[in-house]
This record gives sequence, structure tokens and C-alpha cells, in this order.
Amino acid sequence: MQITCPVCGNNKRFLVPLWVRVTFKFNEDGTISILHVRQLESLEDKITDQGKTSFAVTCKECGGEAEINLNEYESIEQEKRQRAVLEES
Amino acid sequence: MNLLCLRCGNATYFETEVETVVEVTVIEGGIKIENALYPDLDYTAETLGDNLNDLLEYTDRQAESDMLFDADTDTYYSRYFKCARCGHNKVAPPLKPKRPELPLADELAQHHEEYSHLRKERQHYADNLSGLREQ
Repeated sequence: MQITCPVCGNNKRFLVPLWVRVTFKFNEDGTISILHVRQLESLEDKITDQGKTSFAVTCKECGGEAEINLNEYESIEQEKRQRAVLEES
Repeated sequence: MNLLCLRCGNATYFETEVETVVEVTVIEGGIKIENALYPDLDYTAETLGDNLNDLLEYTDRQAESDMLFDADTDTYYSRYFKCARCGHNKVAPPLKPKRPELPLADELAQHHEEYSHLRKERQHYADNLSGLREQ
């Protein structure tokens, strides 16, 4: 899998929104403390569903919307096939 | 503000669902999930705390018409919280004082005696030595 930012070229670090269940308590001094956080979604599923839902994987560096290539080798193979066809003709 | 579980009376421990943001790092074809850290900020923790606070503040200001009604206890409850002690999903925000539906003049007349008593009490504190010391 390859994730890239078309704006700045970053291909390492990205931000993804995630729903979590939070257990918290009210303290006597009026503040709240978080006791536990549990992930409610599979990030892998969210990333592979990119484009089908309204959420976006964004670049951590510039905030641009990231592009996800689930099978980078497939596109390399496709390029090779296209080149071979062009060379033959 | 506090919340109250309509089943077990818990007013301390609750759970809810909020959205936060995590960092995904691409490593050798896979991904690693971590808190989104900036030099002076844990963006994941910050977003989580802010969204939880926003939800609590929203619940505090929420009108009864936006809440659900529990006929057994004659109470409106929030749809966003769950009791973390007994798991009950009927959790009510604190009761807001309500004024009776009568004209203000009638309301003032109804409480005239109580107010006179309050004035006398206040005068007593004003004349009292401890009250004078505070001033």
C-alpha cells in the first residue's frame, strides 16, 4: 500500500479521523478525567474505503487530501504492459 | 456539570462516543497507528478532550425537546451518554430549575413573606460582628 500527498509529496505521515468510546469520570473539583479509550472502527477498513465515504485521509505536513494506492505493484505492472503494447505497435 | 444514571444513581462514571484524529505512518507496505504528535502538542489527546468537553457543554444547554423521555421516571435523558457502572443508557443531565407558569406579579406576591424574612436575615448578618469583620 502506498499513501501520498499530491500537494507536497509526503508519503510517510497522515492523519485519519477515528471514532472512539471514552470512559470518563467527573472529579470532585469540577474537572473530568479520561479513564479508558477504545477504538470503534477498523482503520484498515477506513483506509481501504477511502473515496467511498465522506471522511478523508489528510497529509500531516500540509493538510492536503491524500491519495491511496492499495496495490502499488499493480500500477507498475500496468505501466509495463502499456509500454510493451506501445513498443509492439 | 454532572450527569445522573436513572437506574443506579451513579453521578461519576460515564461513557460516550467521540471522534478524534490519529496518525498513520506508512512502513514497508503496512501502516502504524499512533497519536498525532507535533513538537508541542498531542493533537489526538487534544481533539479527544475538546470533543468530549463540547459534547458535555452541548448536553448542558440542550433543550428537553432534543432529548429522549423516560416515562417510568418522568425524566428527559441524553442520547449520547451511557452509565459506565451499570451499562444503562438512560443518563440524565442535571435538573434545571423551572419557574412556575404564572404572571410575575403573582409570583412576587406569592413569595412576599419569604422575601421579607430573607431581608431581615440579611440585616441580621449585616449588623452581626462577623459580618462587619468581613466588610
